[in-house]
Order: sequence, then C-alpha cells, then structure tokens
Amino acid sequence: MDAMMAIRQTFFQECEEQLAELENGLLAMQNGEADAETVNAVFRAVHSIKGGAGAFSLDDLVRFSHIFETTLDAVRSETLAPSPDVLKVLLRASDILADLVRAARDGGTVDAERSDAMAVELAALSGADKPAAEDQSEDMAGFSFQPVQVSFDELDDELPAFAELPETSWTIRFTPKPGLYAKANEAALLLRGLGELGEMIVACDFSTLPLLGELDPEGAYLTFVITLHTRADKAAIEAVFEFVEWDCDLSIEMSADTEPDGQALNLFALRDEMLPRVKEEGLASSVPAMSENQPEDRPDAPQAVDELGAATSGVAPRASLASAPAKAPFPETAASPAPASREGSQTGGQVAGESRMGERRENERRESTQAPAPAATIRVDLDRVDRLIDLVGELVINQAMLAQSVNEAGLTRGAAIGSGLDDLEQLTREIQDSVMAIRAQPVKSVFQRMPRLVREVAAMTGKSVRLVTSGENTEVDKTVIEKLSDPLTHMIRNAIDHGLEAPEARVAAGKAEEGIVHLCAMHRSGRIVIEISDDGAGINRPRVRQIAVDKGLIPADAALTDDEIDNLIFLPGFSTAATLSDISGRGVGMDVVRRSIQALGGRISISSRPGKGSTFTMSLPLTLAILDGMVVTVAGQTLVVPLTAIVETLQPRSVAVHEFGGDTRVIAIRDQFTPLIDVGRELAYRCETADVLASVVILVETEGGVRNALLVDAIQGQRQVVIKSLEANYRHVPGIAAATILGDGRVALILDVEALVASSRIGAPSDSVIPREDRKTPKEIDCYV
Amino acid sequence: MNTLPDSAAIATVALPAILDLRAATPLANALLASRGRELIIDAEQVQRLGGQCLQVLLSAALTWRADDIPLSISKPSPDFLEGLDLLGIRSVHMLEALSSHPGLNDPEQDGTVVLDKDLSR
Repeated sequence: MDAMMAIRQTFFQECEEQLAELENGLLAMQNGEADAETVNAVFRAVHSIKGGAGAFSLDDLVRFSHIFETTLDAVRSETLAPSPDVLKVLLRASDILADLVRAARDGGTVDAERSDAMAVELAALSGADKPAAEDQSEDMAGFSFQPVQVSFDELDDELPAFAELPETSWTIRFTPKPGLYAKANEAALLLRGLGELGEMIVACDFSTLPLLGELDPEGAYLTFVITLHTRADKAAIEAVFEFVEWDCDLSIEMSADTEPDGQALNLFALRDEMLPRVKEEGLASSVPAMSENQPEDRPDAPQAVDELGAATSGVAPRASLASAPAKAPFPETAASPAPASREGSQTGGQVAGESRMGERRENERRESTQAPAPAATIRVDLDRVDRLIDLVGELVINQAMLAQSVNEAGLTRGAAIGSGLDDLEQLTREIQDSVMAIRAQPVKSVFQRMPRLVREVAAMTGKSVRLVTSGENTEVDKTVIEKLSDPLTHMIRNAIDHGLEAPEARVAAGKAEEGIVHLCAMHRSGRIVIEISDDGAGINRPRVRQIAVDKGLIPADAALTDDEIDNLIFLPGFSTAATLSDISGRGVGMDVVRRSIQALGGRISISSRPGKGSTFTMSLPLTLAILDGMVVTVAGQTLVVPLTAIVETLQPRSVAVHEFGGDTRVIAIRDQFTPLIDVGRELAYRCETADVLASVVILVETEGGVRNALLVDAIQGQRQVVIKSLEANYRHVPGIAAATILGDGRVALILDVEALVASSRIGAPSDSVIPREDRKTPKEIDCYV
Repeated sequence: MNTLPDSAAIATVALPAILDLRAATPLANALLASRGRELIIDAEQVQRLGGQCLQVLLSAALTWRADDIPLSISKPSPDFLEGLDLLGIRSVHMLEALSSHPGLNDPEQDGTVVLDKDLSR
C-alpha cells in the first residue's frame, strides 16, 4: 500500500469516528441532553469530513458536507433552533452523509436524488439557498489538492495543501469579548497559536480602554490587529479561533500584496506593509516598532518612547518571528485549535492510521515545547492483532504439549520443572488475557448503527419508534462484534415491523403512540447477553401455532407450552407476515438469525407477554478464539465440552437410570428426571448403547435453563483450548461447534451442546437446530465407518 | 534636585507569577489601592501574562498618566516581556510611556527598567 492509500484509509477510518460522533451528538440533542459543546462536536465532525474529503477531491462528499455544515453552523450560532423536526432532518442528513462516505470509500454510488433532496431541505433550514456554483467552487478552492503531488507529512485535514499554497499575507482583526475570557480562553494563547502558522506582527489597539476606576477587570477592551504571513489558508486561520468564534469579533482578510513568488518576507517589509494598513483601518497613528534585528541600544529606546508618547490612541505593533519561542510560558494547549496530532511512523502501509492525516511539520516542531497529545492510543491493523492471537494460541498449545511431555517423562509436579511449568502456564494465560483485551471492543460500534435503522424502518412502517440503548460499553471480542450486526439488524427490524403495533392500535390499547425498542448489552457469567425488547403486542400465540401447523412444522395435536410456541418462530421457513414486507422479509427468517448466532457459539431465545411485548435474548461467547472446556473421552475419541454449559459431573448409579420408551433413557438427579444423551451414539461413534455404570454423566444446561445429562466414557481434565474453525478448515458438522489441537498434537472436536441436545430430542419443536437431513448424516456415516 | 518623591508616596505592586484571568480583579484592586501615589510595578516574578491582566496594566498606565503621576515597571522578567510582545505591546517602555511621566521613562535614571535581550531576538 502506498502512502496515499494509507492516508486515505486513515481518512475513512476517521470518518467513521466522526460519523459516530455526529450521530451521538444529534441523538443527545434530540434527547435534550445537548450543551454547546455537543453542538460544537457535531459541527466539527461534519467540518472534518468536509476538510478530508476536499483533500481527496471527493466532490460529492464535500458538496453535501458543506451544505450540512452550513445548517449546523446556523444551529450553532442559534439562528436555527434545534427543534425535534430540525433534528429529524439533521439525523437523516447524517445518514446520507454516512452513505456518501461509504460510497466514496467503496466506490459505490449514492442515490443522488435523495442526497440532492436532502441538500435542498438542509439549505431551507439554514435559510441559505442551495449554494450556487461559484460559491461551491470558492469553497473548494482551499481544497484544490492533487494527492499524488503531496508528500506524506505535509498534509493536514484542515489545510490539505499546506505546503503547496503560496505564502499569503492576511490581516486579522481579533477583538475578544468578555465571554472569551469567562470561558477560560486566553487571547495570548490564540495569538501564540496564530504565530505558529507563520510570521506575524501584532498591534494592540487599546483605544477603548477606560481608566482603572471604570475598568471591569474581567471585561474585554482590546483589539488585536495581526498581520500574518503564512502558507496556511483562511480555514487554518479560522481554525485557530474555532473554539472562540462566538466570543470574539473576528475578521480575516487576505492582503492584496501577497508575494507572488512565495518567498518569505523579511520583517522590515512586513512591518512597512502593515503599518499603513493599520492607519487605513482607522486605528489612528501607530507606532513604528523597532526592528527585530536592530540592537536595542539606549539611543533608540527613548526615541521609540517619544514617538509612543505622541501616540495617544495607543496602537502598538508587535513583530515576531515565525519560529515558536524556545520557552513557552503557556504550556497549556487547550485553546490551540490545531487538531491533536498523533505521532506515527511514516513507513505507511501495515499499521493503518499510525500517522494521522493532519500531521504537520509545525506540529512536530511543537512537540518539544508542548505537552503530548492526551489520547494515548494507537491504531493497529486488525491483521496484526489476529496474528498475535494466533501466536498466543500456538503458545497455549505448545505449553500444553510441554506440560504433557513433562508428565509423560515421569517428572513430578513438585519438582523445579513442575513449578516452572506452572509459572509458564500462569504467564501464558495472562498473555492470552491481555491479547484478548486488545481485541475487545465495546458493542457501541454496532449499537450506534441501530438508531439509523430504527429511523428508516419507522419511516417505512409509519410507526413512531424510540430506540433506547444501554450497556453500550460492554466489551466483547471484535470478531463477535463484526458478526453481531446482521442478527441485530434483523431482530430490530422484526421488533418494529412485527412487534410494535400501529400507532392507532397502540393508542387503542392505552399505550403511548411512540413504541419503545430497548437494546441492551451486559456481561453474564462469562458471556455477553444482548436483549432486544419491544413494548408491542407480544407474540400472537394462537396464530403462530396455527401457522406452524399449516406449514406442517408441528403436528396439529402437539401439546406445546407457551415458551415452545414462542420459539416456533425460529423454525426454518416460518414467517408470520401474511405478505413478505419490505422490512422484515428480505428472504431472511428468524431461523437464519438463530443459525448465525449459533454459528458464533451463541444462543437465542424469546420470551413474550401478550399485550406487553417480547424480548429476544442472545447470549454469545466473549471471544471466538479461546474456550474453557472439559476434555472428555467418548468411544476412544477426545472431545471438548464447553465449560460454560456444564452444571456438574457425576458418577451415575444404576438405580438412577430408567429406560423411557425405545432407546431413550432418563436419569434421576435430585428428584428430577433428566434426559440422558449418549454422546457416543448421538455422534455416531458407536452403535451400541454405552454402559451407564462405566460412564460419567455431565449435567449441562442449555438456553432456557433446560438440563440434560451427557453420557461420556471418562473425563480427562479441564483445559483452555484454542478454537479452530471446523467450517473454515473442513465443513460444518452437526453437533460439533469447532475443533482444537491438543497438547499431543491431536485434533479434538468441541461439542455444540445445544445442537446435540436438540438433535437428541427428535420430534420436539426446537430440533430445528439440525435439519432433519443433516441430523441423519452422522448415523449414516456410522454405518460406513 | 531629587525629583523622586519621598518613599511614603511611592507604592510598589509586585505582580504574581501567573497573570491569568483569575489574577485580573485582584490586580486591578491592588493597583487602584495605590492610585494617587507614584507606582512601581515589580514584574520580576511574572511567568505568564494574559489578555485581561494586560488590560489592567494598560489601564493603570493610562490612569497614572491622567493623574500625572509616575509609573514604572521594575525588573521585568523575560516571560513578562515576551507576554507583552505577544500581545502587541512592543516593549515595557510602551507600557510606561502611556503614563508619560517625564523623568521615569529613561531606564537608566532609576535602574528599574532593563531592556531585555529577549526583545531583540
């Protein structure tokens, strides 16, 4: 990947962050939780996207974000009140902006009609007409940027062509208002920030300053007239004042006499240029400053003072070199408007985003005098983390092999080598945990895609819906997060489309017109649990049952509990909608959702209360890379039972086991009969029934709290195993979740307890986990083995 | 011959190290309390000068000038001079000159004002 591609990639990564920021801010505003800073953040997000897009000549994106930004600016400057209606438009605009960003990234196209319509809507809100062509071109001027011509480190998201622009002189009039100081901003810091853009001369106009008796010490009376000679463009200068722009009067004008050849001016020339202009601006007579290079020997000083004494209106020019002072009396950079830059290598490529686009030499130079950027985070390419996880996995296997070798060599655990091995195991586990923590991410990244979905589905169904999320910061492995999006999307669609009633029906039922969908994540016993609940009508059980009967999914006389009826919706081919709607239809049923969750080692269940709503509960492993399991032997094979499923293990007594029609056996455990599943037979390792007395029972609990007893030959021990996908390396095997490599190098299969239990209950409604044809497969294989 | 007033009439205000927005009101009060007397502002400790304190100092200079009483800056620290410079006040003379009292603008006269080399960078 070349450097430009790396920057581009970083830009899009940052766009995603900005879009998230934008949406969060808008949602906060919608909930009435917004303060001025939120509005600022929202504005900045769009502004940053526009800046970066300009750098890459993404014209559509620039155009739309410009209009969007203008509207947000109106909100910011309080000329447009953020009413609920306005926010709805802004939220939809953020959706379109996200589409444009993704289209720019992936090379797709966007519905131009839709974005144009939104542009008109936005422009109407801001009171501006849709920008005319010349307006746009003017706006684009600052971004006229040829990516290939720009070196990697001279880019800035505010000044994409910083190094390419010729030097320009700017005259800046900056008059702080009292509010600027009241908000803990400091004029001196802003001027210092400005000085870092180039060479500047400051003149202080204190003509409105009253005498001490009338002075409000916390007022603001000074005007600073700054002449700045810089390669930076207007946006960069504006950026210096970004945080104070409502708290000061500011005018930035380009001087007509910009040096055509881009050579740096010397300060004499600069001062000579600047002083007449100060006069022209009506600041009365000004004071000639002493030359920067002129020694300030005594004879000159009184002269300057004399002239000064004559200058009654008090305009004092000040010249300064562009270079930052060696000593910075204002170490705080809070008011510095330059975006926090992240230090990064410029080798580009592999660690995407190591170097932020807005890296500028100026910033680097400042590193020595300023505090480092507060966010101590780096972006690392996921491949690198995955590689690390793989290696740690190998380390775990290797450590297990070593332990086994030591064991086989007859060395006791008490020996020095034994304790060394224990330490190694401890360390390995810590490394593993730390590496997994690197990949753990809050589910927020998935959750924050949902508000948009809710808006869209609500608009399509004509329902009024509010999405409430909680537990967004619950962390889970990135691989799990990536796979959460689809099932969640489908379930939320389903909740709105099928769960929530139409507004009239809600009102008739005495509910608020606005339906609520609650999305919630939490950690529960080593798994992540995600609940999607709605306050709709709940599952129409008679109808669900009738459909299942009609479709031949269950016998007409099947006796089902409420819970079992609810779970019928997960059967393949089940669809309650009379006609496939645009929203939930799409050819995907809840069975697919269930399967995709099960493929992640997860479980899903539903509970419903008529008239009150339904709750879908998904429970997923925190990681897809490592599993705590119990290693067992079945018919000479080594299998792993996930520890999360195991309740207890026990040695059965013959009196406890009862035949129960045909081959089925149950075992009495604490006055309860529990189905006994012969794992060897179920997986077709053997045809004959296992001898219960020579076996071990593992009591497992599946989703919904149902207990079953697995019959295995022996327990080898408890171990952490590295999960290797069977699907990726072989194919899906019913009843088997994945595989692992044991210490001795052999492959062991990891049981899919849920699927195994389901497949053992032929005829039960929830046996949909393994389709009938699949279910027969292992037994058929058995006959050939 | 001695043009300097007697010591009882001379007030000295020592500036604190940090002249940020929190320092503006106390500074204004301290200076106001000295009004009517010749004033020496001791800037030796100053590490940081903000816009509002500069306003107060400039206003004091104008006030002393209106009262026709001398005002001088004593031992300005390099940071103080640099802060003035940054805010468009070219030199400490300028601040003093606002009070425009003859006899005190010449730094050599009382040795309180030393033009720092920092200014000629």
